[in-house]
Amino acid sequence: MSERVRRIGRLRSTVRQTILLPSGRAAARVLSPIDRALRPGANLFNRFLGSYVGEVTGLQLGLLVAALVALATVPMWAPLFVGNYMRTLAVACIWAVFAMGWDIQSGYTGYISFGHSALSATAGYTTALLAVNLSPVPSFWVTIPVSILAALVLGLLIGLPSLRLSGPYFSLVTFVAVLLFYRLTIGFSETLGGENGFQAVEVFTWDFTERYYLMLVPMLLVAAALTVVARSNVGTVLVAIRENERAVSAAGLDPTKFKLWSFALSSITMGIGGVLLAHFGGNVDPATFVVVDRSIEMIAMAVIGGMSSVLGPIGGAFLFVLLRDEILRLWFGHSTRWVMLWLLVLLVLVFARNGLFRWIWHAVGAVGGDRE
Amino acid sequence: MDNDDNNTLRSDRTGKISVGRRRFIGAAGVGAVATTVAGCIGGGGDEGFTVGHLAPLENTQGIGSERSAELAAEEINEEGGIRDEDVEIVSANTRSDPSTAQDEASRLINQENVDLLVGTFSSEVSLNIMDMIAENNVPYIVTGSASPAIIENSTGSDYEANKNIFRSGPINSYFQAEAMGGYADYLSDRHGWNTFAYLADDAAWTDPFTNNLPGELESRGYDVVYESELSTGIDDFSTVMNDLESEDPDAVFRFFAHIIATDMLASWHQRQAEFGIEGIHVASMTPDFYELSQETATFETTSQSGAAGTTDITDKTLDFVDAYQSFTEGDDDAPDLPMYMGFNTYDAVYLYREAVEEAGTADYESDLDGIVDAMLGLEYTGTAGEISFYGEGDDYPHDVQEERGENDEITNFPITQWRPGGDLECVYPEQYRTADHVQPEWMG
Repeated sequence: MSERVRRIGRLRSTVRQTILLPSGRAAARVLSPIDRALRPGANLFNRFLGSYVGEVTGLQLGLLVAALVALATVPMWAPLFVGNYMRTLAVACIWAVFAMGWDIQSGYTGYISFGHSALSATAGYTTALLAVNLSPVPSFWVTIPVSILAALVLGLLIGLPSLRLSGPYFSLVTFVAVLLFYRLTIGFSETLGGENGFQAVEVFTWDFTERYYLMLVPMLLVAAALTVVARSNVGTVLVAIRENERAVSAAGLDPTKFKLWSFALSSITMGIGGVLLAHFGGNVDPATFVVVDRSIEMIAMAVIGGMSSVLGPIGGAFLFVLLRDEILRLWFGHSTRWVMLWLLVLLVLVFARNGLFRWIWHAVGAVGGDRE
Repeated sequence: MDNDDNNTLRSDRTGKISVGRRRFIGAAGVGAVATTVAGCIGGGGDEGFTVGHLAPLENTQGIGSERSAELAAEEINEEGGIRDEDVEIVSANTRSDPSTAQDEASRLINQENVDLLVGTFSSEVSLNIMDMIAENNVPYIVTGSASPAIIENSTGSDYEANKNIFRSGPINSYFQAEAMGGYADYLSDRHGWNTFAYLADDAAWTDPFTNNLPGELESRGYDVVYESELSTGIDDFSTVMNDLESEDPDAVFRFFAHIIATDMLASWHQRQAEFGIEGIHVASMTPDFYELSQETATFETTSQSGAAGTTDITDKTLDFVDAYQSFTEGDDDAPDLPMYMGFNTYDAVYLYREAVEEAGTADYESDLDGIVDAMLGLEYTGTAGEISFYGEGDDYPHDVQEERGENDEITNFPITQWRPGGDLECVYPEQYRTADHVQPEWMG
């Protein structure tokens, strides 16, 4: 056994010495002129926005801008591919909101929630119930804030008693909340629509291009807002809670208060995502919103992208949804793709625990050398 | 998932903490993943006539429908195709899930550039995808789901915007409820059954039954002693059976598409409950349901388009069943019969061919009106009956018209009954009857 471990260790170091390091160096050599070229832009960015959203290197700025341009021009390049990218990327935007919503609470404070789909489902079901039970159906301007508020209320209902708990108990409470929600939809199917849910929600639009932008813009706004919060003192306290809660208390700060704030912020984000998802397809049912799989998927997205980082969950969500709905689907078909997807998630958990996108971000940041 | 991971994470959020440059290779790895997408470059062609088929393919209705569409395409291609173009069926699995169905339908429209969409079994799915399909103008013929809301919410509310949507069968559940009234008359005449109970899936397609059938039965002079909608996730029928036994109806009309009521049937036989089980039970339409239910399906009835090939509804019915059976020979996944949805889908492909040939174009983008007019002008003899559509001013525009007999009773709604030994007989309406309805042997 130990001989095998040694052999694997030797293999790994050979691979690292002969392939990874040289190619990493080669890539860095190629990229450092680009980094230098972009540095004036980065300096400008850092001067005006750095204190709010963190500082970037030239290459990091380039990467951000390239990603934004790619997202903004999807309708131009999506038709070149076989697949349904206009829809898939719009779905990815919604899930990026969910992954960020989970991350700002669980990723930052370390209080892992297994029940975040209950929050987004609250918003979705509120929208659907308003549409089904009120006549005439109130406008978006009423239903959207009410639905987000409903998510916040449920978030506080779960958060207030449970955030004082520690260890696995908080996670269990959230897990039970989602199971309870699911059983409620089945048990009170006359009110909550049962397995089939509701098909009554007005879809924003069936124009695929317009619909994509209607999902993209809120996602970017949420990302910007959460980045500002995460880079503020609040974000620092949240991470400190994760690292050492007692130290936070000793510093005279009330950790529960900060955890509640993060939960509230997270609930609002989940509410926004839930509303987007409800108006995206018009159907609100347990399989789309509630079941615990949805909660686990949010976690997986945030973790493979890189927890406690805002950009990580976005990248994770896009990677996850693209793999699931397009790439793996093309190769493995509808059912087997899930097996491959979860295997890939497992690989990331084992080999890139800090998340793929954090890894990329820091690797890119390290090019040029002088910022290390 | 390992929670502890959370504690091992570093708080290196600012990007200033050292990360080995060698790690840069990670970026290259992800880049490699990204480039795999490049393998997908290409686009759907416009050659031929493509029919998109939407149905749940883990369900015998969906599979029967899919094979029937394939059969229709093969036969039509042997005859020279649709307007000289070969017909190709592109099949997508909706899994009876509205979100999946939406994804699949938009793929068929955007990626496969389909010329026609047929199928959809669950009414929730049909209701959820039709706005998107209306927006894209692709002709869409619903062949599986029966909720009148499909028409009411589309052509019935905004005709111009939804005129590409048709429903070729079965008759919608509003008419089905009326037809059930006629069937109750027959049961009353035959067995003296005058009190009934009502059970249904809690789903969109049963709403018209829930709203209309009890009243319909009462207006015909019968008593309705029990009414209940059951959660589609129900797994215990003992309460329902107890309630039914204490209310003591002569027969229970139950409408199950989502619920597979084998437990209820087992309990019915075991208790020798003193009532007939009538109505619609979609699971019971599967040819091997008799064996699957361990023979407890005996004496239950279900309505189904095409009457499961027990009788020649039109001169095409039995030929189609024969062709289907030789087409699916050796195909273990396919049910032995086309299923009600198969009859309707097969007819839909054929009648659409007739319509576009009449219209002189299959190009819905430039002449949808011409195609719609031709569809509305059709009087097509299909395998499940005569098919013609209601027009713009009617209650259910573009819905299949019900057929009526001498006494104004609805006739294109045949009902079959499982008999001891596993035979299936058509018991209603009279003109298609292969045998009279029998009551359970423990009754009377």
